[in-house]
Amino acid sequence: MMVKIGSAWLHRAMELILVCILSGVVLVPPVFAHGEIAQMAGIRMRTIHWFDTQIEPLKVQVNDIVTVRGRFMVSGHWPDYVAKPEEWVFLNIGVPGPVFVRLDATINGMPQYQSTAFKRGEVYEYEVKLKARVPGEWHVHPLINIWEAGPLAGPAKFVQIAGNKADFVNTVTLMDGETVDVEHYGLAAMWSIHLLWVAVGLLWVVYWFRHLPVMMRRYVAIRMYGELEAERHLITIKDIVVSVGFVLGILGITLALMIWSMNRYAITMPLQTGKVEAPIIPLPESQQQVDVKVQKARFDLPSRRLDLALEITNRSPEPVRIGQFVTGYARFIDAAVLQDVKSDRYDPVAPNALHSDVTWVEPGQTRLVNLTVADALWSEQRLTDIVAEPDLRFAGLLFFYTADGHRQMREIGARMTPNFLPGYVPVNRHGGHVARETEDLLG
Amino acid sequence: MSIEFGSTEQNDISRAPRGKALTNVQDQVAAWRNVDLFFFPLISILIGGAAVFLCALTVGDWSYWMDWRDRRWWPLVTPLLLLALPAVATYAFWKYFKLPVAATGLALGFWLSQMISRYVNFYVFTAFPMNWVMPEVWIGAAVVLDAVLLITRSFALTGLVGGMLFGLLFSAMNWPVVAPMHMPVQLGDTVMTLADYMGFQYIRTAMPEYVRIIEAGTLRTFGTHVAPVTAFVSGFFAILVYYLFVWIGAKGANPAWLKKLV
Repeated sequence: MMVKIGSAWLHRAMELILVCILSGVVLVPPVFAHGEIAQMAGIRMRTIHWFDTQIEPLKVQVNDIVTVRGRFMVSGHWPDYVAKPEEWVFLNIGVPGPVFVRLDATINGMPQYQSTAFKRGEVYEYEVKLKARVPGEWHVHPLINIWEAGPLAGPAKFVQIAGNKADFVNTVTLMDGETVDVEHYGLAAMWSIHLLWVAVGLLWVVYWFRHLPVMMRRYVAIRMYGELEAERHLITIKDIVVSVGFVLGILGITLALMIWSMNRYAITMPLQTGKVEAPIIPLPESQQQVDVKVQKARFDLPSRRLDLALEITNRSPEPVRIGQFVTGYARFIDAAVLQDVKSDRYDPVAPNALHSDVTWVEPGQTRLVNLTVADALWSEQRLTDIVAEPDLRFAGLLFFYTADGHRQMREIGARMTPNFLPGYVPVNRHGGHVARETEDLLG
Repeated sequence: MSIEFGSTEQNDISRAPRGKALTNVQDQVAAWRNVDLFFFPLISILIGGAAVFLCALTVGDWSYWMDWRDRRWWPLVTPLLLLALPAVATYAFWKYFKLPVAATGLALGFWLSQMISRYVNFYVFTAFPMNWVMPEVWIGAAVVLDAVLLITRSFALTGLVGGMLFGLLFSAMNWPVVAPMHMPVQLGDTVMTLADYMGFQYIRTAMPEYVRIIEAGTLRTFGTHVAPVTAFVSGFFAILVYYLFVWIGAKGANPAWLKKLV
């Protein structure tokens, strides 16, 4: 009776476990992100600042072209604990596997088929052409891999590919003039060679197991007569002749296949490696006529707010005002200056997060400006982790705009003081939604 | 002493001890046949599968991608690590069965497991072209290793001759498979192999081009004849690897250590 009850409970428990596993498979929502915000906040904020990113078109058919282009600045405030971009970097694309093939990639007009190196403090313009391959909806990032630092993703867009993967076409002309289907070139020969060797292996095994039983008969014989005596009788002259035949046959097959491949693929070359150049095209002086010194920086963790005291000198002929702060790939916008909205729920933009106590800085003027960068985006992008970094510094790009929309740009960065105490400064003065949440919390 | 040995199955089987479950020779033969039919394929696939896992942990990208298979590292690293488990199993199969089939069986099991892994994981799930992730083939080298053991009946000589051939033949046997991927392609001013080109085209987000270890090293004495020199180096090291892992196999196959533990 007890056994029956125990068995029933065990049975039910197994059923429950099975249901849980299946529920997990069915109910767990699909994941679209690539873990880009898992990268250390300090590394994201102080290495590559992405801006002007464009990914288009967003709805394509298999074989259509999608272009990813934009610009990035390699931070001059690069962390000392991260390998330098002057060593090895690679312009890449963040997608879930080869759902696109990359046809071309350039940085400042130079093809980037291999790795390269960047100079800190410089701005680079990139363009990557992708050919749609696998139908689905894919999150597409520009991405830069940095030696010993890992992948640094730029802002992404969802691209929908419709059609049938079987229609995908990818050909290339080899240097011998033959135009080949990239995904199937040499495949038939590869399978044939593999199966040939499988046949040889099976033939060898079949020879030894041709008269069953084999293993136990041999085992018993060795136990009964001893190893040496058994060996004398278990291994026959025929076995030795066959073994020699196999060795010679395999050497012959190997040689024949080598000769065949040397004829079939007459011109081959070793794998290629090395760096390509990423030329530097300096920003025009007209885009850098605003100088900024960070006098003080404080990050208020409870209200997700960066407070900056900046000394701004305007050397341009027109008044300028701050409109955008970019760090990593997150964009913090002053809604009074720019209109920028989230294109989808993953778009890392805070459309009303930037506020300063000085509106315009006149030509030739130097002003002390208090700038507040406050939004839940700090938290959503896990940039709040900056307070737990080994080097408490921040960096980012500050964009200034003239009345007619002309843009100036300057990277800022400095040591920063974190504040861990909740609600020590009123945070609702600028009306950001984090501020409102905090206000609610404080009653 | 005259021993009537192995001339007929009946002769050996009739001498074998039988328990209560087996009451006649026919039952004994049937049971022993089942051992052959069940045990050898099972052990081949299990240890072959373990070798795939070992290969993934150690050889890894050299085995996965065509644009990693250079002339210097891939033919050196891969056979040395692939030789380990066959050498271990060879000891047991030779010691207890006098059967030179362990390396071949493992190579076949490895091939099956590796092909399933590549086809399902790389081709079906992640959509990489099969010709770019086609695994290495070393069944022929494993047969040579087994055959040399049978001919010499000596682990020492098998290590010396078979180990050397195992390292040497790996490059030669795999060149016809990788050769199409080494055909040159020109893109603008850049010339690269088809494998490099596919490495550029088929996006691997976490696999930047610079992490490949291509022709890195100091072995420059023989100019551009890197492949045969590497094959010989691989052969020399394979001798040592074979001895080491046969010794480990001997330790593993001797249950004395287990008795001490238990």
